[in-house]
Amino acid sequence: MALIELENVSKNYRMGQTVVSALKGITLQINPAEFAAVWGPSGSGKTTLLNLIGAIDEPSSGRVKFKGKDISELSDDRRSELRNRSFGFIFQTFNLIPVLSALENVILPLQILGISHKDALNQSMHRLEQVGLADFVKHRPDKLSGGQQQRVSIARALVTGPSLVIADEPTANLDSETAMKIVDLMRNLNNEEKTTFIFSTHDERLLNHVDRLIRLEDGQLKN
Amino acid sequence: MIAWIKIAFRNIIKNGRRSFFTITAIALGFAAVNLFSGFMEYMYLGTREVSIYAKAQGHLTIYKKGFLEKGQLDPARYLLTAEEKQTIENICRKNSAVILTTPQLNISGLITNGKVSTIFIGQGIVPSAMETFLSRITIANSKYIRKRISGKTLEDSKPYGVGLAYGLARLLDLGVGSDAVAFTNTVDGQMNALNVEVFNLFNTSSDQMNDKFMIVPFRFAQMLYDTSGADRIAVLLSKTELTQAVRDHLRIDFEKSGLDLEIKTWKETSEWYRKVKEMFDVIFLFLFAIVFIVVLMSVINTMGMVVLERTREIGTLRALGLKRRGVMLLFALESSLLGIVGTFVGLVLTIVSRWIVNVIKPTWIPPGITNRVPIIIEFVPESMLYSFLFLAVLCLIASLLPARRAARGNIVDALGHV
Repeated sequence: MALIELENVSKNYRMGQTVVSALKGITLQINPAEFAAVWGPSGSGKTTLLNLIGAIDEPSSGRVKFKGKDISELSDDRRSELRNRSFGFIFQTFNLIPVLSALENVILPLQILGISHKDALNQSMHRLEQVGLADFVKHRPDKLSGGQQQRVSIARALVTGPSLVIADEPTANLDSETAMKIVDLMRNLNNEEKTTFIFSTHDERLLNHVDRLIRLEDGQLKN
Repeated sequence: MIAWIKIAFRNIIKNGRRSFFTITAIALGFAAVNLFSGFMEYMYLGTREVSIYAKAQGHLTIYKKGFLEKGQLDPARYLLTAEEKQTIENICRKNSAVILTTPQLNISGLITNGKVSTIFIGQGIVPSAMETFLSRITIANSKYIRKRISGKTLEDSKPYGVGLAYGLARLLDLGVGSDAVAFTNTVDGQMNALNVEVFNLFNTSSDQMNDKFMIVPFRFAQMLYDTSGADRIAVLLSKTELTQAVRDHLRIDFEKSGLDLEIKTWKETSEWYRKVKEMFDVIFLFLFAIVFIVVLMSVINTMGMVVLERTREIGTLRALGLKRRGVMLLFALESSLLGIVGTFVGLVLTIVSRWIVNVIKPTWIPPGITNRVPIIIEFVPESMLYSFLFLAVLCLIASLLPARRAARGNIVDALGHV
């Protein structure tokens, strides 16, 4: 069974009197353990597509299914639980909580999940070691480099053991070398843990590393 | 929960300047309310003690039924007879809360120095009982009421020795040791006159009473009115809080004994207390309303700014799976923490200010009083507890609107917020 299924999904935004179609009739499947990139120019609908897959936005028409279940039918609370348990998010601007240390940021999804502090601490430490930040657990985001912040963000995305990690332009704010390291890290985690990764990018250099390329242009899939 | 408290607390620290002004507003509001409450309590206690002890009204005053309405027109009919007096005292003594019962007879008439006459109003009271009343004053300011300027105390065995208000003595050019004549109608309507000797001069502390008031021994009042009765019996209790309960008991006991009496509490007989309380209650209401508005606006403004600044953070937390009520809880916690820290600072401010005022003891002349009296701020834990709870809840409520807006916002918009 596909992990994610999009069936004729469209997404329109209203901007004043004008309706803008961000996605037009997308039908797509993401399979377990895939390492897929959504590629396309700016404004092609990459972020919108990831938002719909990640259950943080709802389609104007069509259906988005996770493990065969229509996400749109879920209440806001159930969608929150789904995001917390099954999805991990990596953002372009890292989106770490500035008042929390690296470790506290990674613990956050587990605290939302409600597991014991001791278990949360162990799992978070493990993830931070995995991304090579064992020595930076007490550092606040403003004391970390961009690459380090994105590693914390990856650790946070993985800490609940999600089925799918969604990364929106995870390397856009990083230099080329760091960007490659981040993609390599995600690739290794995908290989080791069979976690599904889908990330958007407009950087063609990263495309050699992916199993599957999803091309988007003007809100439509291109072969 | 600890994680959310940690986030809330660190954000308060992070936005130090804004938090400082909000906490200051809450602290000043708390201190203003509690310092004023302390001052009100001092006024209430002072006025209460003046009524009960300094003016020797006691906690309860017992009259023959109808005396307050018609006693002036037909004094003979509404005076308590010696037998009734005795029965009342016997019944009162059985109540363990009663410390003292003492008859009183208020009189009025003319007093002359032989050349000039003027009207007087006199309170006839047993001198030894008066001393018992005065000895129970605990509030420093109450002693300023009827404060003796010169002379000696009245004596039970010397009914002709009276105390004159300073203004009355000045009108008649009388001093301590001077003689005068008091004359009035007896209860039967006959003219009667008796010599008096001025034993002491005192200040009534009331502008209206200072030129006509005198205190006379109860026996003297009886002789001048040519009666063996009393117009009232003052009852002194061990604790003021027992007033209502003792009244209820006595009322039943008097009815069982066939006595047709009225029992008034000190609050009912003291119009001054009621007026003072009413005035301060209204002022307090205004003050409280101002504090309420300032704190509410301050917290709403702060939390509105907080929500706006942390929109992207809210979007991130929602993306990570935090539910809407979780977002609301986060901001409610932050707002409540501001309230708690603010009230704690306010508590410290209140204690320090109270200590300074009580050490410096600035003085003032309260309305209707002729003496300067020190300002004292009482410690009122109930007021502090209630204002703490009120401000904490107020901060919580003030955060709900911006928190709700944050919680219900679109996640995608929040993540894209710059």
